[in-house]
Amino acid sequence: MWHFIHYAVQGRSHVKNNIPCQDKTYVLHKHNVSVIALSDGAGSAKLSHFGAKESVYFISNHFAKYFDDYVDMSKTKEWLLIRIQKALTRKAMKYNCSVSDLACTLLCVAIKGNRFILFHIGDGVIGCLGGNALEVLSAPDNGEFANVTNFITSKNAFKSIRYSIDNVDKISGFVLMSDGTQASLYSKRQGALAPVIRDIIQSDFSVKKLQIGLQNSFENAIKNATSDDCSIAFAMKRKPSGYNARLLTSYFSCIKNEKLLKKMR
Amino acid sequence: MLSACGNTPMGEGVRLALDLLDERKQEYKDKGVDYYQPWLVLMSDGQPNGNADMLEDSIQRTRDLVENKKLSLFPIGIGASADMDTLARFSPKRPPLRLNGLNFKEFFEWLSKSVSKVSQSRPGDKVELDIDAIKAWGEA
Repeated sequence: MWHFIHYAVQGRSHVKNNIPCQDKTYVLHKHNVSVIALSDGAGSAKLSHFGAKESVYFISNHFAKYFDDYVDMSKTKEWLLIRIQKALTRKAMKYNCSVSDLACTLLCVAIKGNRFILFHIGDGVIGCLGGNALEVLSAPDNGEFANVTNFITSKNAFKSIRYSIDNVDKISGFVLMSDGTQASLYSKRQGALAPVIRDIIQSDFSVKKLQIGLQNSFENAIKNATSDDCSIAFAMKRKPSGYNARLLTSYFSCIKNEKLLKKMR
Repeated sequence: MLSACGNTPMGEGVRLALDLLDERKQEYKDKGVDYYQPWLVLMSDGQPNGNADMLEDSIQRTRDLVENKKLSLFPIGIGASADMDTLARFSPKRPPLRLNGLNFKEFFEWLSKSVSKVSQSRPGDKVELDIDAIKAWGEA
């Protein structure tokens, strides 16, 4: 059984400039398909928060309905992108704007049975925990420069899709994170996820308490490391067995405190 | 200590600048440091009188980088004797401007603010340069 925790927090620069949070996350369990999705709206695209919201909602429900078609390859990643772009076009008509006003990145992992599908356009990171080892499944796509990436609506969108279908048996968890969260939980130099990602996926805390802890850590620590919006989504294969209340608050409030984490292991 | 002696090896100077930019970008890549599109400010008050082949190579190299969106170039002529035509050959997208008098202070203030805007931009942000503020230091 897959369990989810996810959160998106408005960045400090967005608060200052009265721009809504352009990061959106969505999780879904439907038709025996478990899906996590995350989208980061383009900075100056005026309605990109609506684009991000529509993108995560659409791809999650789409994979819930058509998962098997993608696994048997009767549907392709290009067809999927066209469907997502058409969904954004419909939204653009509703908001009387251009599709480029809804520009956003998109990260998604869908799981059914022993298979998973990964779909990624733009920056942000998709990772997993296989055994005891964290692995980056899809690295950020920034091209050469930090303020450049591809969006669902970009001319290069089709060429920039990262897509894979694989076996999920040895994987105990997936994580999606936006580029804002990368500042805290991903090392570009090493191409590695922060060890705390493994701690969260392997944690014995209940999902409800993990969700509270995740929100607290993003509001009080993660968002202070950048001015950008920050978002994250986890899918975890686990059997929650309760929690230790004494440790929970310090566990997440000191999410970057390696010494404390070592003591708790 | 720098001293002027009448030479303007523009081709050699631009080649050195582009080589240094490449070295810095490689250093950033090796250390996993994000960076933004580099800017090159090319200022001259006269005509290039260095190696002619080197000048042509540097012009072509700069043009290729600008057209491939790997570099932003700001060509600035200083004084009445500046060779604006050669400055223009370096820059396929942005015509050279002539500095108003010796308004270097105003130019570098504008440059500093402009670069800061870029360094704070995120993917998808459109960074608009302050065109009105250019009038404080430059003229077409």
